[in-house]
Amino acid sequence: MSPTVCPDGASQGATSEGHFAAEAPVLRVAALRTEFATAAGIVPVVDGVDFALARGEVLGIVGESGSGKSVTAYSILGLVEPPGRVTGGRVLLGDIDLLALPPEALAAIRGARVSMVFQDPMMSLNPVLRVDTQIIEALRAHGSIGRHDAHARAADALARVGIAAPEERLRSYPHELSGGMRQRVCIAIAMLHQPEVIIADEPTTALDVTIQAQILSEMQALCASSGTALLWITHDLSVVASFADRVCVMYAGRIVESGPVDVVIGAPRHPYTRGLLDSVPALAAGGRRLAPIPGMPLAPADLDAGCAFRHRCARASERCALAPDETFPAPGRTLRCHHPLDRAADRDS
Amino acid sequence: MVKLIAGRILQGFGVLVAVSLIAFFGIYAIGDPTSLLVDPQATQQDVEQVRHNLGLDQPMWRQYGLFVGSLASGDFGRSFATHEPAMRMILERLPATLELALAAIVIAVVAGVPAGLAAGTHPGSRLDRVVMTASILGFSLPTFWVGLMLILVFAVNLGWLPSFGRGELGSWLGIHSSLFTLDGLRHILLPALNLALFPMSLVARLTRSGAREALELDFVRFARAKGISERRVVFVHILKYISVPIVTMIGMQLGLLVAFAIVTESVFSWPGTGKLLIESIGRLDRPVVVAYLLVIVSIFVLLNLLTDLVYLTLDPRVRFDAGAHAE
Repeated sequence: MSPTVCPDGASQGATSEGHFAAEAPVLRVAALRTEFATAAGIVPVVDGVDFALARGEVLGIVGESGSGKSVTAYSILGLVEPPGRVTGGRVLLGDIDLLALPPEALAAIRGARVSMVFQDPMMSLNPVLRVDTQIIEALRAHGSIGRHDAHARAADALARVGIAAPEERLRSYPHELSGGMRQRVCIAIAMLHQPEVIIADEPTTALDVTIQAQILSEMQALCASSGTALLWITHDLSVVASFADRVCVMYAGRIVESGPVDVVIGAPRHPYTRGLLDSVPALAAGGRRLAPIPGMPLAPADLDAGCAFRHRCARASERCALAPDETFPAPGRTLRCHHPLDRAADRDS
Repeated sequence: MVKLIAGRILQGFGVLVAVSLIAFFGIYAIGDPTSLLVDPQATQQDVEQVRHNLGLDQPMWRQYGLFVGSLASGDFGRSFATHEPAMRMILERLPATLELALAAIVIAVVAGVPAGLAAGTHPGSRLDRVVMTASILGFSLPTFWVGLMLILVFAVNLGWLPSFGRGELGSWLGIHSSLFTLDGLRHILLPALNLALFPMSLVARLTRSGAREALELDFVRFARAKGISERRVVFVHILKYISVPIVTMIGMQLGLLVAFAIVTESVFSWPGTGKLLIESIGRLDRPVVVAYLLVIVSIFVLLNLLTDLVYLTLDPRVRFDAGAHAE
């Protein structure tokens, strides 16, 4: 959470830009906790996550599989399926707590003020419904619209995300489109109502690198033009490095380090962030061997009160058996570590 | 597409030949119907005469040859017992069976699909448990016993509904059926309900498991993330996605219902083909039995073909694949 957040939130939800205080976040997640009931008992998968998203900002959430980053995304819009359950915290959109809303009120916000794009474009469109059906139902969900207008808006939405011959594509079934095109359709659907926030759950992971780059830059441009904030969830640090404003690094359900993207990536303080950077070919220092992080993350059921990373961490000491509190080493930066790397730590240390 | 239909029809033809052979030789092996047909006091000569008239004194393969020969001119033979043309006897009674099976499948779908959807979208709930328990009963209670209980409760004790026969027939577009009159509908309700019990349980379970699986899929989550109503998620996204296996099953069940309406027809004295079949087997009336089997098999072949065609409209991917594989 940025320390510069203004707490009153009075100006949120304002329709004209002039009313916006520059620092007022559109979305604020506080102490979010999501648990899953498993055979081994209740397991927290998201454990006290805090962050805020300013208008038009791109916030990357980075973590490996099982770090709880996707569940965080689902929790924001109440899309966690049993046996999962959001058990604590607040998700504030302006001054509305999404977690406290009745289902119908939450549905009115989904897709209109906060929308989502998913990882696998092969699976996120219904294979037995035509593209136009799936776009128009999203239009109709948030206001009545005539058949002719709906069709025109659907075609327009496809054109905006760079789909050629949108009229033709509207009549297609998802299997007739390529993966990149399907993801564009999903993005078009997410952008339909010019939401304040788009949550993107690894939307480019399943795509070719070239398509990935195209989609990244297109989404960036679209969001910039409409002032939409983007919550970009990924395991790929290089993606975040190239276009996020700020980044949160997640490990075992917690944000271990966050801050402006160039600072976090340029001078990481948490050993896990350092380890992640060293295992990315493009970001590791040239000519050096990649340094994978030893070991595997603990299963959520095996987590204890200590720092979850200490079993894989070269700097771990006995103090790490007690989880570190969140500290604020610099404005806009958070860290959870007893033994942070030096601010000036060079890469050879 | 045309290739698919032609292939299916050819297959069906092979099945018809096989079934006619099995039925023909099967009944031949059971025994000689002549003794059941003639007066016990008749002389040996009379018996021989009857046997000769029916063609039963010929060797088996010749009898089959004659049967196939007359098939070519549309003659399925005459009943040994009534001397009526066998096919006419069956076609006269087929509408009664078809309307019963149709009514049963409609009840099964109208009750089974919503029950399965409700259970599948609320796994572990009380409703889910009720639907699961009811479907187990629907599977395992014997049809004849349920039929008798229905009669006992609704016809005898409560006196709300009649317990036998088709009632008054109405006619519409030249079809005579008890579905077209109020009295007929009152008559068909109990037997149709009885016959529907099994397919209803099957439809409910299949729908439930399909819905449960679909709930986990990304497109359901994406549909919800779009903010569309839960009703639309369930009745459009999930139902259409899981409809292919349900339609297959309904197609297969409809055939089975026609074929196995026998028990229900006996319990409710429903004048359909099932009752005719039971009587004909009792009399070793081979032409009627063979004609019946050929009709039933044709219905199955036709239903399978229809099911395939319905697939094509329900699942665009099948359409796509069929197009891709056709040279």
